[in-house]
Amino acid sequence: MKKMSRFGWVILSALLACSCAPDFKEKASELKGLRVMAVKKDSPYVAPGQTVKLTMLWHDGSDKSPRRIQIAWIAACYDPASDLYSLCFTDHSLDGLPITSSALPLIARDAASSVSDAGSADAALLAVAASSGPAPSVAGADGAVIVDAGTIADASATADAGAPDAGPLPGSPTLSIPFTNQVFGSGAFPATIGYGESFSFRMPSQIVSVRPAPQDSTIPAYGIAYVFFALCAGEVRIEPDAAFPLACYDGTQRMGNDDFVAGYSAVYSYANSSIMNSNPQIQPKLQINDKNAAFDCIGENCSGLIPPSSIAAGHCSAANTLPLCEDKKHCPHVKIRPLIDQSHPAEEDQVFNISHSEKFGEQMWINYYADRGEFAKDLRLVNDAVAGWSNEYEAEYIPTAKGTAYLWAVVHDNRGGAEWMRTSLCIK
Amino acid sequence: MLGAWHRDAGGVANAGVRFVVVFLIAALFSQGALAAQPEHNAAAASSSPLQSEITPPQLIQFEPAAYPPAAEAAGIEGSVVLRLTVEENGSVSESVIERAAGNDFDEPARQAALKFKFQPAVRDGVPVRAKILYEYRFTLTPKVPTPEQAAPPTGGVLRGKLLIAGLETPLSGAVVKITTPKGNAVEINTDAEGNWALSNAEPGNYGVHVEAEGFASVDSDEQITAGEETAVTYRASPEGQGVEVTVQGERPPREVTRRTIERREVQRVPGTSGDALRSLQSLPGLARAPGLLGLLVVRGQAPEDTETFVDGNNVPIIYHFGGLSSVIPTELLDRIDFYPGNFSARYGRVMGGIVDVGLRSADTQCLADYGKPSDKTGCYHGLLELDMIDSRAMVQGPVGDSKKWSFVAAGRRSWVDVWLTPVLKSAGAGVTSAPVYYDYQLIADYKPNANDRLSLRFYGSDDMLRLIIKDPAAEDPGVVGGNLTFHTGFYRAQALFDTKLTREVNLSTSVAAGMDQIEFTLGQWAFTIKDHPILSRGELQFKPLQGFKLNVGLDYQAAPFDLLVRLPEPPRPGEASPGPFTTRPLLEQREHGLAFRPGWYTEAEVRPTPPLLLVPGLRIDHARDSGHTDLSPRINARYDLIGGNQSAGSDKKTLRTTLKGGVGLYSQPPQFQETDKIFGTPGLESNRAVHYGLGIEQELTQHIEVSVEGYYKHLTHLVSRTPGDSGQYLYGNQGSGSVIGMETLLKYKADARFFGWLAYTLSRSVRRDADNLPEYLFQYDQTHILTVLGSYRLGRGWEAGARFRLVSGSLVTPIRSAPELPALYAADAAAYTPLQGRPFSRRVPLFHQLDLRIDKTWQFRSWKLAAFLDIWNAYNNAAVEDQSYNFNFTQRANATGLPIIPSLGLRGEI
Repeated sequence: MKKMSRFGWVILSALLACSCAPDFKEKASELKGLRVMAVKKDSPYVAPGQTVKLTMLWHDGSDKSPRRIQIAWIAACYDPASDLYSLCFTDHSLDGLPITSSALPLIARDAASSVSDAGSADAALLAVAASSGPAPSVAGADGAVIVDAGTIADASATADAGAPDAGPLPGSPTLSIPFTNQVFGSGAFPATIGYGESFSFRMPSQIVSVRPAPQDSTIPAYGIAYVFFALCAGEVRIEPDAAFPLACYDGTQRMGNDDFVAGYSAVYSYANSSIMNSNPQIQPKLQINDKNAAFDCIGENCSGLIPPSSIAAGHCSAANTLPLCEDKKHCPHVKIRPLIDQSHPAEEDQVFNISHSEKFGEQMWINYYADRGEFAKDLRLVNDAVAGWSNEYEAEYIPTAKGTAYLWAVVHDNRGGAEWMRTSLCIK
Repeated sequence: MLGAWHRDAGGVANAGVRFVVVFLIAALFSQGALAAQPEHNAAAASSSPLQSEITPPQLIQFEPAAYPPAAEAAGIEGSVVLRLTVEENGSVSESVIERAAGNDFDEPARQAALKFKFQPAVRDGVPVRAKILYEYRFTLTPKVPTPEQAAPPTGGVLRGKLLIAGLETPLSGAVVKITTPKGNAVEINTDAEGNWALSNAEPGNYGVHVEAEGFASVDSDEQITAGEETAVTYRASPEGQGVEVTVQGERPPREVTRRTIERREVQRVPGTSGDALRSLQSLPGLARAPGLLGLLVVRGQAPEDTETFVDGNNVPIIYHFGGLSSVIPTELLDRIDFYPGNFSARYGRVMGGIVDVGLRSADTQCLADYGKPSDKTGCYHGLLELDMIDSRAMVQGPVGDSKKWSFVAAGRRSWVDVWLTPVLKSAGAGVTSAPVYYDYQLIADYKPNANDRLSLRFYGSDDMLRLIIKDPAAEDPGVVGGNLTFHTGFYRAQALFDTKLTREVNLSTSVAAGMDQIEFTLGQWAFTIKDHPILSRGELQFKPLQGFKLNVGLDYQAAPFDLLVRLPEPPRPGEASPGPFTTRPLLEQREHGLAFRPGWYTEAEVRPTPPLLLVPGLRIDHARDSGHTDLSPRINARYDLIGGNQSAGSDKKTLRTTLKGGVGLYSQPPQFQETDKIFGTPGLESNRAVHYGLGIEQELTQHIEVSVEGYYKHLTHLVSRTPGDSGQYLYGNQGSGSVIGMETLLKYKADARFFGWLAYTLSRSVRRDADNLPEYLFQYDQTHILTVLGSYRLGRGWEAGARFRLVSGSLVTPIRSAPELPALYAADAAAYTPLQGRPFSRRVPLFHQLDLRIDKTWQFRSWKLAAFLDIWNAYNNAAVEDQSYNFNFTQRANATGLPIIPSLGLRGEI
């Protein structure tokens, strides 16, 4: 028992270790460069063999915006060992482990790229995959990026619908890409590459059955697919020797962190079809300092760049108009509160509750982002899995910069669900 | 009784020559004494967790020394400090000049002391050989006017006598400062008889303040009436906590290295707020833990590789809230034994180190006015202490009129809730249960005779914190937010019994039963365990032959338990980040069962020649949870090259030189989560370590000792995690590693004025998770650890100390930097997860810190007041504890440790 106690004690000690971390100027809630805020799945849990659509909420807060942005997706990693995302690619911190890249059959009919003119051999790998599709990113006449996402995503969904799980589609190329495939099972699942704000892929029907049953028999059998994405103010290229094998180039110049974001989303699949998860719901209502205010959009309607017509300042309602306050230490905090209706409370955590007597809800929280101004509180608890609803989830915003500010509120649950809302403020 | 000696000097103004003997410090029981008293040695060498009761020698016949004529003529005074060896019959067999005075004072003092007669020191009712420090003071007495010459008194007379508390010996040369009713100051020196007088004093209240070097000052108010004589007797106590007994070398260690911190030291180590267990971290072999964390990182091993005991029975935690203070207050500790390696077969189940603290018996010694001890026993004492963290109280004394029963009762409660609750609320947390801790102890001792002793204890601790985090942590908002509960608690009912069955056979037993509880929840995460351990130890010590002793013991741990663990699968240190835990499925383990870990051991103490001690031992441990039995052979040896038992029986004092070494196998069962069928891999074997140690101890002077020890640990069968054939990560015993190092301790043993040490450790600790994987520096590796500390009694109740530490920076795992991507965006958690470099391959800058401590004690007639100011990080060094990153890991900065923290405390004792 002593060792059990120490196990808990080590956890506690880690929490209590006292050190003074510095304050970094840039906060996660302030969108200064190219940023991804969320990825939403149309169904957070996907049944084996079903197609799932992922939609990205992103914003380019760079001074160079608007500019050409490429969004690439790769669904090529299924059921990595111990569900470790890092084992999906060659991780040099794990040198010596028997994890290597493997040749993957590639589904690429729907993929498209604007990098086909790239000169490097690495870029060519993606270019091959993209050779038959339309370009996802098109520079508009005014320089703004208009992402033609729907066409690609739909094409992908249609193409995958009847595809076999293992082996390449007829005519699909087989490429060596620096993402490892599933560790379990003998057959390789197809990898899917896509471009644009949305991306669809089909969850292999054997995603659950190929892996060993969980050691904890109370956990419903599941499979997991890691979908990687890259958001690049240039061209996405392969860097096989890097810790993460994708990079962003503008010609020969490698782009930095304000111009390139890479990440992943985990898609869970349960064999038990009764295990479901819905995305959180945001009601079409917004309050600013307890007054009803206007909002711009909810969910997929907020995707893409903000249309130029709405950028013009001066079209705000009274509630959406805030006085400039530059001395942030003495500024009143503006309370911004989307309506997350309590009549649609957090769902039960079915994955856990299905086999345990103790019942939990979802853990839900809300992230706030803005391209102008600052937050005093930008990350709030919405629902605690044990204690339940928390009504104090509003943002506290400080309008420190003049002009039109865009604010996003993104609600997450701890089972992969997400939803978002955007509003605009006129700061005068 | 001490006598005073006069003679006509005929020289300096009718000066009477007097000397003053000041009985100062301690009885130091030497290892030589052990050899001279083998039958007592046997008793002392027992592994009894109970401490012996020791009475220091008392001078009963004094021999005056001749005052050097030249010094007398020149009006020179002096004092010689001698180290005397007092035999069991009370004679002085050896007199060594410890601190010379020059001016021909030294040799007369040394020769005179050889003719002293003492009442011998007594341990457990048996006279034993002892060593004491003795100050022989030569002072000149001012000419005393004859009655004819003296002016007739016009007022009253205040006449006093000053004695050494406990000895009833006159204390001469002390300064008596008298403040008259009009505020005038008069100073008088006590004479050879300790007498002083103020004649023709006007009636009224007089303030009296007595000072003598090496003694606590005495303060009193006296009333003088015209035409009357007021006679007072004061008793001055040696400074400190009365006569201090350093139980040093009481028994030859069965371990290669045992580091013992004495009571005088633990209360005064700067930077610990007087907390004894926190002072451990100033010893060699222990790495520095960040901040106030009380992690015991011993010789390059993880904290869980070291076990803590209270008188032989283990306890789950020793610190409140991770390190604020220890769960047993310093006042209750009799000793702290720390074994950094090559420990005796008495201890098992760990491959790191051992900390075994002993609880003290009640102090029933009576005190007379001004804190002076008296011969009487059967008195009660109390203590109340307040500082910025907690408050505590303790009472102790006899049980009723019993001479055989005594008790100690103590308790402590934090008031962290007073200041931390508002801080938490202002940070946006909803505080459901304010952070608070408390502990309590009740001890009853029964000592019917010199051979038997029974001690009954009940002690425990409880820490509680419960709150709602409304602003989740950005690093993992789906997890680190919402409901947070932290609760730890334990209690023990413990009985210890020691008895001497025959002249050759001793029996030591201890049994403890109680409860351990840890409750940690964070959102859905939970780690709760409640068990009721039954712990028993027994050791039979048998000495069939001269120079041979056999110790046979058992060490049982059994605990019915209820366990709930609900967590995602955690990574092990050094493994790649699994990313935010937000969406990872929870694993749950609920178990009700019985943990049972019996152990048996036998150990011999073989002394083929007086200077050589061999301690071979064998330990067998079984762990019901892992299903494995471990056999651990060990052997330790000590050889007194010079001094010690080498010169036993010799009157000539020599400085001891001891060689020591050992080799042994140490096994440690896997941790719970490693062998659990859900969180780990059942069927794991124990981790193994072979300890090699070789060192030397050298006395440089009577007070200064240096020890140097090299060690090497070969670690095999370490539990590590690598991908199995199925691709799933599995635990296995394929890990290996080593620790190599050297420890140096230069120590000035505590005397009446000073204690201090310099400790330096050089080490390197590495691990390898499997044969085909690269070796890496272990998470807790610290190459250089230097600690210098000292504390000095300034007199008049003041004491000042300082501790300086210089330590290699901690290891951190670096994050990839430009041009590579430093982190990926984990979209489901709305947080970035870093792309790490090689684990623990970067060291943060060197750590250095100075801690200061000042104590002041006021001795009043019936009670004592003490205040301390402990200043942590006195020059406010922004020591780097870790590296911190911004939200997307593109910016890096150093996370610094605690700033300067002054801690003020007050303590009252009666």
